[in-house]
Amino acid sequence: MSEATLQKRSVLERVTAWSGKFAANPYVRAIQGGFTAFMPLMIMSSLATLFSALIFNDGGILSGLLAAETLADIRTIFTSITNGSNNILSLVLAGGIAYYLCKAKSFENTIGAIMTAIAVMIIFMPLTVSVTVGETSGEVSNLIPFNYTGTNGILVSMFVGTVGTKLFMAFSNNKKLQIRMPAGVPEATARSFNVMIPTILTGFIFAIVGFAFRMFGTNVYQFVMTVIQTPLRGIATSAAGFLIVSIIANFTFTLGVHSSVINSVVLRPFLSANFNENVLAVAAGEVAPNIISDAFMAYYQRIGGAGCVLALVIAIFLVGKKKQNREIAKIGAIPALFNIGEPMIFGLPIMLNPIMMIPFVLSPTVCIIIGYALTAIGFVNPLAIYTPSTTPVVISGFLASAGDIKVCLIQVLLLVICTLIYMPFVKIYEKTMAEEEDEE
Amino acid sequence: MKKILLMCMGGFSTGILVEKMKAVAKEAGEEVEIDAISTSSLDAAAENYDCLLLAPQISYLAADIEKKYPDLPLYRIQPTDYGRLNGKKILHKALEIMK
Repeated sequence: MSEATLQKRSVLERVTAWSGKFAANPYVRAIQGGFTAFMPLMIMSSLATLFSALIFNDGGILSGLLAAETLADIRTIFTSITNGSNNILSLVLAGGIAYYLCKAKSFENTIGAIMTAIAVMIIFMPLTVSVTVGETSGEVSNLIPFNYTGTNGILVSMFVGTVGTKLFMAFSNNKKLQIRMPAGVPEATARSFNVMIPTILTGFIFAIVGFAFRMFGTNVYQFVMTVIQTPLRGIATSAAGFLIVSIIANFTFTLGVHSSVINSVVLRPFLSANFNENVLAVAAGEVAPNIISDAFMAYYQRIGGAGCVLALVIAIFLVGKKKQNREIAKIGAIPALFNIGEPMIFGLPIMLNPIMMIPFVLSPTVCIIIGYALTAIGFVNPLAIYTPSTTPVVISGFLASAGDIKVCLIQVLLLVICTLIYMPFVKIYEKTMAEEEDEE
Repeated sequence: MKKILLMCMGGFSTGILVEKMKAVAKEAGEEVEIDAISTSSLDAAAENYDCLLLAPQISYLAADIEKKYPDLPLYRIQPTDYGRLNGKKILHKALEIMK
C-alpha cells in the first residue's frame, strides 16, 4: 500500500471511530430510542389519515353512499386518533427518551423516571391558555394545549427526557439523599421513601425554572420554540440544510455506522415536527404545508434502502460482469425491494469502498433535489402519510400520497436516475477489481 | 437447546440473515434457536440467549454491551459475511463462541 493510501485510511479510521463514538453516546441513543418508540403511534395516525382521505372524505369512496353528516361523524374517529398521536407527540416522547436513557445508563427505576419526565412536561406548561370563541377571546385555566404537547414541544421534550432524567438519576444515586429508616421499618417502606425524594426535587426545580420564565412574561415552550426550535427547524428542513445532513448521514453509513444515528438526532426532531404539521393540516382538510418531512425522507430520499441501493442492484444486473457482484446483487435484491440496504452495503461492499461510496451518497442527494423541486412547483402535494419503513417503492408512494399516481411516477423516475448514476461506477469498480486480481 | 440472538438497528436485516442461518442449521442437523431483534429490545431479551451476534452497522455498541452483559458471549459479524448473508460461516462462529 502506498503512503498516500495509508494516510487516507487513517483519516477514514478516525472519522469512523468518531462517528462510532457519537452513535454510542447514551443521550444520542436515548433520543433515537424515543423516536423509534413513537413510530407505531405515527403509523396509527397515518392509517387514520389514509382511511379518512380515501374512504370517508367528501369525494372519497363512500361519499355517494352515505350522507355528508354521517361521514363527518365517522371522521371523528380519525380525529381522535390524531389527538392521541400527533397531538401528544412531545408528551410521550419525553417519557420514551427518559426510558431509553435509563436503559443506556443501567438505571433501574425506569418507571419513576418516565413519570417524572411526563410530570415535568406538564409543570412547564403555561397556567392559562388563550382561547377565542366567536369574537370573544380570553385566558382560560385548567387546559393543556395541544399546541405544546404536539409539534411545538419536541425540543422541550428532548431536553426534559435527557437533562431532566439525568437530574432524576443523579438524585436517585446520591446516597446522602436516601432516608435511613429506624430499624424495624420494612425495607419496602424505606425504599418507597428513597424513590420519592428524587421525584420531589426534580419536580420542584423545574417548577421554579418554569416560574422564572413566567416572570419574564413567557413560558418554557414558547421560549424554546421561538429562540431555538423554529430557527433550527428552518435550517434543518430547508432544502440546503436537509441536503447537507443527508450527505453526512449517508457518508457515515459508508464508514459502517448506520445513517439513522445522525438522522435521528440532527434531523428527526424537525422532520417529525414538519410531518406532524402536515398530518394535522390534511386532517383539517387543507394541503400539507411542509415539503421536507419524515415522509419526504422515506419516499423520495430513501427509496430501495439507504443510498437507493435498489438502483445499484438493477445497475449490476444491467452492466455488472463479475460473477461475485452479480451473486451479491441476487442476494441483495429482495431485501432492497423492502428498503433494506445492508446486504449491498456490507456485501459488495459499499462500506469503505472509495469508488462505490460516491454514488451511494450522490444518489439520495439527486433524489432530494428532484423530489423537492417537483413538490415545490406544485406537481405533487407534500406527503402526509407514513407507512412501515419496509413498504416497497411505488406502493409506498401510492400510500404516502393517499393514491396519487404522480408520486409513484416520481419514484420510478428517481429509481431510473439512480440506476444511471450507479452504472458507470459499477463499471469502474469492476475494472479496479480486475486490476487487483491481475496484481495477485 | 442453544439459543442465538442477532441484533441490528431495526431487526430487519438480521431477520433475513436468521432465515439463512436456520436453513443451514436444519441441513446440518444442529439443534439451535435463532432470533433477530432491534437495539431497543436487547434488555428484555438478553438473558434468554446463549450468545449475541452484532450486525456491523451497530458494532459501536459492542463495548457497552460487553460491560452490561459480561457473561453473554458476543461476536461482531464481519461486514462481508453480513452483506453476503453467509449463514453457514456466521452460524459456525456462533456455535464456536458458545462452547
